[in-house]
Amino acid sequence: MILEIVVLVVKILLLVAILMGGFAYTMLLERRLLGFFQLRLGPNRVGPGGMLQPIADALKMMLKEDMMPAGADSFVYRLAPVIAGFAALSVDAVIPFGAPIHLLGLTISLDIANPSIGLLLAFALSSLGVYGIVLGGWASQNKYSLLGGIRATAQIISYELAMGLSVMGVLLMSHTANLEGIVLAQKAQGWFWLPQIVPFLIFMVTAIAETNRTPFDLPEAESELVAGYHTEYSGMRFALYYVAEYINMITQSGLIVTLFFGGWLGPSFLPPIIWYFIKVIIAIFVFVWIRATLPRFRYDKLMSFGWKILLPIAFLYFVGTAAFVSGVL
Amino acid sequence: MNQYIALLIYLIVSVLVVLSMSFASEMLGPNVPGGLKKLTYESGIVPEAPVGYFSVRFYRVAMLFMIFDVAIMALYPWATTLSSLKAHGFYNGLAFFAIMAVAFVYVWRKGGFQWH
Repeated sequence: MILEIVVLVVKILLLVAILMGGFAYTMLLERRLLGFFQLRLGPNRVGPGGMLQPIADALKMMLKEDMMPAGADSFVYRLAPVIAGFAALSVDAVIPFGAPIHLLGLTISLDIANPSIGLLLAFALSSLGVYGIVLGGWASQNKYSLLGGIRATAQIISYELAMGLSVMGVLLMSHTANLEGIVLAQKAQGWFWLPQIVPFLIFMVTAIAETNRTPFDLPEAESELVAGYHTEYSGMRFALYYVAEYINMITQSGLIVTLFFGGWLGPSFLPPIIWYFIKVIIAIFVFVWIRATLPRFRYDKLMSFGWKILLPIAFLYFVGTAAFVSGVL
Repeated sequence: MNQYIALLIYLIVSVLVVLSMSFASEMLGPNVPGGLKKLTYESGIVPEAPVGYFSVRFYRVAMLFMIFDVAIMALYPWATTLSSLKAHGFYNGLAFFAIMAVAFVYVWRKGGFQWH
């Protein structure tokens, strides 16, 4: 019992450390990659190759003055970035990072919790993030912020249905919503991206919308809304919105890898956990690549795109998979 | 140990981490009031009127979203058990899809997904 508690504490501390460190270096990776995509160098002055840039940024953010607009609702204004950061951090608790380890007679699974409804829980927790954006935009009492918050709402009701339906094929094939079970099913049946290629592409599109990144970065559209929902934020509260955005990107990459690319599975010359992180980094690279390539959507177009194109396609593919799994076809 | 207790402990830890981060610059940063700092930023002009509240154009789509989202939630248990339900379960599910599809097409034809 005591051993189990020690293991749990170590896992929690490790996960928070990995996510915070992952946030800092994902941000650096993105800035350097965007630099290369635009034929410039990106941040490379602080430390060797810019490796200390995230630490410099964090210190600077911490030592900035924290300002709140006069008309702002002070409680909601302070609460909103906490919701955004919390929603981002919490989802990773159910995503397995590697194969279970056997140590001191215990079987340790490399996730905080492994409930049978893991996937549903991941969606529920990650959907909470939109409250951080909407409430932050509303509480600032700034017209641009309010518009950003409204756009975030419009966005989530446009793509969430397609997202929910696109993973249903994976559930059908693996017979479980437990994320570890989904990975093990892929060990037996092969990785799901090939039989589920259409849902995979839909999930990729909706994952970009979930993280509010270009081409779906409507809530912060800097050429129209100054900075959107976080225009009035400064210091660490502003930084928390960035923490949320980048950790969400890591989380969605983790979900894509777990659902469609076999999680920690891979040839045995590298340990499973290394395979998992290699795949996640490739997925993050694709996210950055898309950001560097595509222009922004118009948000009424996004609504009809989600409802009239993504949802019917996801639905038809789901019914087809169901027919196949149940043995009708 | 129970999965959900472990999850609850992690959620509490992550709230504490985020909460302590959000108050960091309020504690550590300078606090020099004055000037026009308290005004909201509107591209350089002094804000005219307070933010009004207006009717958003997509409340109908938002309600449709709720309805369809609940319907999709109902499919999760069906999807995980379908391989043991075999063809019988599939045809029963198909009846449910047909009702959903009729509703979807009806709303579409009536212009429920239109912007206005």
